[in-house]
Amino acid sequence: MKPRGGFDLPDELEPVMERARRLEWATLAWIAVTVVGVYLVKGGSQAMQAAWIEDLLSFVAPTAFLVAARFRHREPNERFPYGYHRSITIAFLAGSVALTLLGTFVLVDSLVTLIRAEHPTIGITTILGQAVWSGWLMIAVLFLSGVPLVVLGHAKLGPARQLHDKTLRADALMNRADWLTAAAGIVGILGIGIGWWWADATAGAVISVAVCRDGVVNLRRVVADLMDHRPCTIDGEISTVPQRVREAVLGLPWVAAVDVRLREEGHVFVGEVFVRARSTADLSAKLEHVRRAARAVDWRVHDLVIEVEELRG
Amino acid sequence: MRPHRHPLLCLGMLAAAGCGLPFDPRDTLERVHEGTLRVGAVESPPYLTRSGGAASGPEADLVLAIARAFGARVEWRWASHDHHLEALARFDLDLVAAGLTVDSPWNGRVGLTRAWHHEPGRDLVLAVPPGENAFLVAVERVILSRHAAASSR
Repeated sequence: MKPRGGFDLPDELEPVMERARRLEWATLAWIAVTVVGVYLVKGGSQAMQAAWIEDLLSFVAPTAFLVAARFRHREPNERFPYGYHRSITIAFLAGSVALTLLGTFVLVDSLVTLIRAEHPTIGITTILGQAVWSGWLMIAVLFLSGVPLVVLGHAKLGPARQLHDKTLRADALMNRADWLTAAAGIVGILGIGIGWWWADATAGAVISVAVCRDGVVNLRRVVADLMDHRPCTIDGEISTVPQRVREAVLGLPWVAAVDVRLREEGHVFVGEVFVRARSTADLSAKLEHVRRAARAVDWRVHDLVIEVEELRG
Repeated sequence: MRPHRHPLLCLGMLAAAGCGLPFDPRDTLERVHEGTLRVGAVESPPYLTRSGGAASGPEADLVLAIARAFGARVEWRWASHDHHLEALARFDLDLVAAGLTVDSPWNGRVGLTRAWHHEPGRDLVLAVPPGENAFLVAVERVILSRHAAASSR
């Protein structure tokens, strides 16, 4: 079987990719620190438990992106003639399912805690010889772990847009929304401090709803991707690339009619171009013209199969 | 969250810090202060032994120190381990002294203090009503001050 051609990012986007990779490594490092920190102080708080699970799940998107970044250099071969792009989408599917299921689990757990009217007990911790209410420690950890993630989220949106990378964008948005987790957790613990025993479980429920929502939104996107839906921009609008490819090919003098069918694979477009030609003389040169015209539309247009039919009469 | 964009929240937090958080949902500390400390006791030699209606031993001494700190008198109640812990969870008791360790399966259903005594393999704790955090913090401060006094001797 003939393996498909490999894909290279345009030169000007290589530094953007590098920056994105560095940001994702920084994210992974910070999440590792946060996961340990939150685990150490979470105690019996529902809100802290929900925040911890959300932190654990935050490993998924950066890992998927970094693995994809590695695989993009791997050429399609005999075993995988279409290349390795899909493996990343599948990893992201697994991650979205995990987000949805675990979010639901924590939500149910928080609601059960509320219904059972369980009062969370939070005592003191000694820090440097001083006795401090552990709630203050939990609030400090939530705040300190939240701020860098929100900053990283903002920083990743730019590269995501330039690279048209939906995984990176999804990750950036989830990080940016972490302010809600930190705020809900802090309010929950302050609530316990005031004597509102229900505040913590309520905060846990709020956080888990946000996690579920992230899971469902990403699940829908990934499923549509795997079903080869029509190409969309990074903001979810219908992409104009298929139409523009059609118009570019129609501009060729020997072309009578054109139809295009494109799908997205990671950041590239692949698909079929159906051409009705006035004459099929010198076909290989004509096919090359079609390919060049299509690729000139957008850097992401990659592997095209061109079908030519000669117009009769 | 960026601090400079949420000045009110930060002021609120600082004010709360000064306001003496945490509070008790069921006002245990307020009730016990210069009142009665209802203690569920279970014989657990050598830490707690019964002598008449009252108790003696290191754990009993700790309970008396806690009562003194609150200006309260101790009401000793004697029954089984589970009976007391269920009563504690229902807020019918203020403290349970029963040779409990930090691994007690009741952790979560009632509150457990920090360890008042360390031994290889067991850290002994007292139990307090669930969620009564002001009371727990006050009890833990007594435990800490006794540790500090013991180590300075």
